[in-house]
Amino acid sequence: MATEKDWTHKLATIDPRVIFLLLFICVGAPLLMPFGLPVGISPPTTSTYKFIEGLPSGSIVVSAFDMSAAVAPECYPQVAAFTTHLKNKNHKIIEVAFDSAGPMFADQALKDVFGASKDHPLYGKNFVNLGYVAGGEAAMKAFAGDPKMIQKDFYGKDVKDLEIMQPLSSARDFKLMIVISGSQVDNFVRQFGDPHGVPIVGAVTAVLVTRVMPYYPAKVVGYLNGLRGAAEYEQLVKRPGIALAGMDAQSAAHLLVIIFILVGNVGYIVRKRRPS
Amino acid sequence: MIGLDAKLLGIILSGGLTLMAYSFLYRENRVSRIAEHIYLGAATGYGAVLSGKYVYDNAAVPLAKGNALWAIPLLSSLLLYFYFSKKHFWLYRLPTAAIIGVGTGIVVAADFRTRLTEQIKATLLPLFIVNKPYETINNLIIIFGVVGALIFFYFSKELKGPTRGLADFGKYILMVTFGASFGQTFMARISLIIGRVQSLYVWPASLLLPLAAILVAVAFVWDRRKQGKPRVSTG
Repeated sequence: MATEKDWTHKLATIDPRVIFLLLFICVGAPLLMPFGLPVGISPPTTSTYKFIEGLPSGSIVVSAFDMSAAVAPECYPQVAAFTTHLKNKNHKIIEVAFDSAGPMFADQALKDVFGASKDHPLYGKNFVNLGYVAGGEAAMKAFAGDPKMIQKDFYGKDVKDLEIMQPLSSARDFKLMIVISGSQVDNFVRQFGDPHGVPIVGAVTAVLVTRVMPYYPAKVVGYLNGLRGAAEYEQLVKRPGIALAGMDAQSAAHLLVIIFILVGNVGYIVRKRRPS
Repeated sequence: MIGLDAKLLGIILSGGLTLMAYSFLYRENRVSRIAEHIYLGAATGYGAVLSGKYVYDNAAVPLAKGNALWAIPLLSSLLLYFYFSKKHFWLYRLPTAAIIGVGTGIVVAADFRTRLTEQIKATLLPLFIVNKPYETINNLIIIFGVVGALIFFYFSKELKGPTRGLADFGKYILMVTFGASFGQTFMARISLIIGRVQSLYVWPASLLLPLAAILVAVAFVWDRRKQGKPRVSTG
């Protein structure tokens, strides 16, 4: 029987705050002193990059912000990376949000990548932030049927006057839709992918990836896997950013938890095999 | 100058609220509750204002310009407020029925195609591809994994022989899936911590870190003296 001095007993009753502290050190230290571990590039990220590379210059690409502030640490670095790529390839970007927090991040992405949003001379010609469209999947269906159903953009400008919106009659005019989401991509496949044949890319949280994988590569042409996907894309577009900087911390934290799982299991097995 | 000050204030507020929320890890306390309520209040308020703006721009303005059709959805939506009336509660049911009906209609028909027929089509893969052993193995795992997982949930008859083997294979595939989901979830949670820690390293939010460390140390010593040993967090 395990006594209070026994190491297995100590392991089983360890104060969780010790684990929190170790985890904080494992995350915090590599951010201050990175070791520069290599980050391999996964096939779904490469597919995304190649698909955007393969689009003719000036193609209309929709960035659908279905993200809340809670997933921003994972999704925003992805947004910054692929928006940079879209800008470099001179594609036209239509930002639209189906979550109320979305327009804020869409605006931030324009400021970070183009240097300005509504005050930029190319606003309305090369990119636009249509703002939040309320109504969930019904709103998606309406937007897919007529992208000009939205009267005003996020900054109060008349959508029908914007040059970028003129050639659009339905979602069939979109050459690509990038879904930034922490909840689901099924609804975008349902309303844009299947009925209108819009190729979809998922810029999603790591939690969501297992739900995106069944659609890849038939319905979803590529996806970015959380912060790691953002780090991979930053490498591809040669724009090292906060995602790449966070990868050492991610690896250190994973290593710590693997050690905890191993030690915990060893303790469990030892206690189980002892005669009671 | 005002813009710069607002930015600095934003960084400090963001860092301060992060540390307030994380103080929950030491133990349940009022400071973390305040941060939680501020987050919920701000998110709800922001969402409500944007939703209101959307309705104003896309329904109220066209109505004011003479497009009378917009009166129908606007007035219907007002019926939702009869939720608070015991006498006229039935009026609340009318727009609710429309919302549920339209929502279900939009989703179900499309979902049947997206998640059933299209997924079945995507599972119809060749069992053997010449000179491509890895693709062949992948296809076999997908085909037998899907069939096995489906058989695992077949409860009308006792499974024996090859069907038992397929169901076992399906069970292991499901276990691998759950493991992968757990790993992905863990990665996501760590990413969130990384994001917040990165924000805490930004000047002047980094000033708050030693302050937070001192407060935790004081709380720890205080707890030790008061109770003999600190209370264990329930988080």
